[in-house]
Amino acid sequence: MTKNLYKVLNDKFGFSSFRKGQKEIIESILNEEDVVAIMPTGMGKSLCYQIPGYLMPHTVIIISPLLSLMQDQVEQLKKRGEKRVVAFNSFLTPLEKQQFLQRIESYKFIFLSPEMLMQDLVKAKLQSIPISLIVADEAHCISQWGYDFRPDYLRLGEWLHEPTRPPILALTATATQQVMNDITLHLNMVNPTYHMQSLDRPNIRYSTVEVDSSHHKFESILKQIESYSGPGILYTQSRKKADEYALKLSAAGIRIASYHAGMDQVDRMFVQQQFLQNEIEWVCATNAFGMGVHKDDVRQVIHDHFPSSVANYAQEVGRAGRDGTDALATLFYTIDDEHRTIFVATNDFPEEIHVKIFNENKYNGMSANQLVSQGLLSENHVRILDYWSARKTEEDTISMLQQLRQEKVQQIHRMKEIITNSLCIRHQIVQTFGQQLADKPQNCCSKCGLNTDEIVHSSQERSQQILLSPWQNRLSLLFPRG
Amino acid sequence: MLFQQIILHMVHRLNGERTISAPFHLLRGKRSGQTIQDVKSFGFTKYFSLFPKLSKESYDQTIQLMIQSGLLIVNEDSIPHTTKLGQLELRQLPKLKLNGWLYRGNERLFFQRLSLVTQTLSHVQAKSMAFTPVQKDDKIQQWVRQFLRSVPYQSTTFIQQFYQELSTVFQSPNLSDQHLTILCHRLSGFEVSGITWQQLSHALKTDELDLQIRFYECLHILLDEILSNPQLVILCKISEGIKTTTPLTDSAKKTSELHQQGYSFEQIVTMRQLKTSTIEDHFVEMAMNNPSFSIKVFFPNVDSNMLIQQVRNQQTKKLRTLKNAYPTYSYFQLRLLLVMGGDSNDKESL
Repeated sequence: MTKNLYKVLNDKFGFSSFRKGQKEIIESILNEEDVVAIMPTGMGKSLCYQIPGYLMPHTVIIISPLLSLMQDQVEQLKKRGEKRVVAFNSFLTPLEKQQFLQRIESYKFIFLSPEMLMQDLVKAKLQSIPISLIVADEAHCISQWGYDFRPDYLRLGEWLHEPTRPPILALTATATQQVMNDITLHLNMVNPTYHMQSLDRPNIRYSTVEVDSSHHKFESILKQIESYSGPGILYTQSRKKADEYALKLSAAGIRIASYHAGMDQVDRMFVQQQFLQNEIEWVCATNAFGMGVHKDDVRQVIHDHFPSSVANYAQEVGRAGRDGTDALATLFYTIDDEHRTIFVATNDFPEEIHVKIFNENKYNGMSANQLVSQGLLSENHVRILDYWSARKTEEDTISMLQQLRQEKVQQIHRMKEIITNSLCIRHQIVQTFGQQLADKPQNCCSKCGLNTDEIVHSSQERSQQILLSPWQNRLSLLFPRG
Repeated sequence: MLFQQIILHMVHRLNGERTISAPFHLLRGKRSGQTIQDVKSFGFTKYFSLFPKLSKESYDQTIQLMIQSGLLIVNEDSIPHTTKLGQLELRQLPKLKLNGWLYRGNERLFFQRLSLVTQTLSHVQAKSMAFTPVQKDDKIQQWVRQFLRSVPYQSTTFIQQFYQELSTVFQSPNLSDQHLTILCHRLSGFEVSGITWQQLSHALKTDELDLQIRFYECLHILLDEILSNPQLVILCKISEGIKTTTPLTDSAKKTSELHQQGYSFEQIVTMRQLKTSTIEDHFVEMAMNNPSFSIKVFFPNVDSNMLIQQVRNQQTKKLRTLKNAYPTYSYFQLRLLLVMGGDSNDKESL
């Protein structure tokens, strides 16, 4: 068996050894146990079900609540030459959906969004085929104590009642007791085996720097980038800011490009390619950047703001140092940045008045699109209200939205606290996800003491900015010896 | 700014006879009777459907900007006029070899195919097939997959031929260095990343939107060349179905077919169970696109050619004005006269 494991690892993934914890999880799955696996993000979760997929006879179902994550995993599998893979989500047209259901037996990996589980036809089709493993990705979303509760996810439990059901693998990066209880309870797990990795990423060192104005913030960021080398990601809060920084920094001779959801899809792909191939050293991005960027040697992540939650922060800094080598996460802030983050996080979140407008107009027969085009509600309002108004009374919707808003604000407070108090940043991050820190590395964080020069290399001579070539040369690059 | 110059060009030609929305609908390629009629009667075939996804917001923004910089004024009835400054700016408009009427946004489809075929073949040649397709659209991916299956894409000769065809068509005298620089850097392949619009704009010191207009122009020229040169076998295949063969909306096409089978206007209204005004739109469209279309049947006992000439001499495209001059004719008849008398080809004169 172990021999097979390594063969698949090598043949399909091109690795010769497992990362910490992967092998044990895979062995439990192959042993047909229910498994709860706690792993930090970006440390090879998907391998834990993909390898068993190749060693088990039937289909693997992966429930994934984040569309972009789902899309990325499908792309990664396809890139490795796996054709028997499909993402089944609300993006599919009715025709595509039909075609998929007709050929459902032919897929090895089926990715589903939780809302698809509510569709009877899908459920029935899935019950008609042999399944080897069910994976609940981002399983903390099933818990209302998790920071990202998705009520649709609860439907998975209804589906997992049958005694003959296949084993379940629940994957998450949250280890609080409440969340873990909810996961095992709602997924009807039977004597699950727990595989808990430390959520700490010891090679990432944390630094926070308070500055007194946004002008000084930019100066400090520029100085940091000029002094210490990338590859690096500079996270900012708005598309406009991302473009603005990129412009100013490239004028200062930094090889940098901006990246945000307002850019066209091909442009975004180009920036990813350039970053992967080290044609640019830095990417200045909104939180849209990260998913799908599989670059192991990111040495720095810089924030110019308080992220909206510790989970988001952990995810963004977690893109550094995946190769295990030291990396630096620096956060520059002014003391009133908190208000800005609260504004960004709650600005487009529906309030009581929006719920009322929505319900009144729905009653009067106005469509959601009309409400948006008349400027009464934003698209985001409609998306959220559409979902909840079908499930809750007006009163309940209002009070729940108020509660959610409060939670959002609290998460930002928590983030600010971690950054600004005098306690160890690493310790507090890990604690947020329900773990205690076993030991701290040297140069742990700016509060425990940090000598940046020992973590990241000083910047080298700047190489050239992107130069355009004549079309003949460009064509020969695309088709060498052509 | 090319984009602003194009708007000025349209405003100038519209000559106060349409509102400021008319250029917007035209640029988006709206398939309504009015817009389609404007294409011919004002000579806007170049610009039709140049930006199918242009948002009202960003259009309005541009207009506001142009008003602020004194290039045009828009009166309380939303009718735009160019200012003196605007007319000066308009003189900067270069001769553009666009043909929006013929390609109608499909040139983007052509480029999507081209870029994915290029990326794939570049990787095939490098014998490194693990890559993330630069085009995410499933339909494009399927098209390219099917296309590649139908050819010996793994053979060196085939890839060589593709390279040759590109080199050949790129040497067209109609393409400028700027065209080719833009196009080639929007293509990517094995260990060759594409360049973003922002980066291109920096390097070429030209506005992003202007570069995009030049890019579409480049695609129109390329398609013209490819479609007139059957020796470019691979490129011809990639261009399949891109050019609009019958420049009509699908619904008008049906009406046209019935008309050709000899059914009368009234019969078609009954058969298709559509409103009279819709069928009228179709006939106007047919009159615009079919050089052999005759309007005689709608003008019994009169010399329609003479009428066309008279209407042209009125020098207005405004129906209400025409109606005052010719109260005995219906709006439908006047529209037919207008399109028949419209410029058959866009003239460069302003």
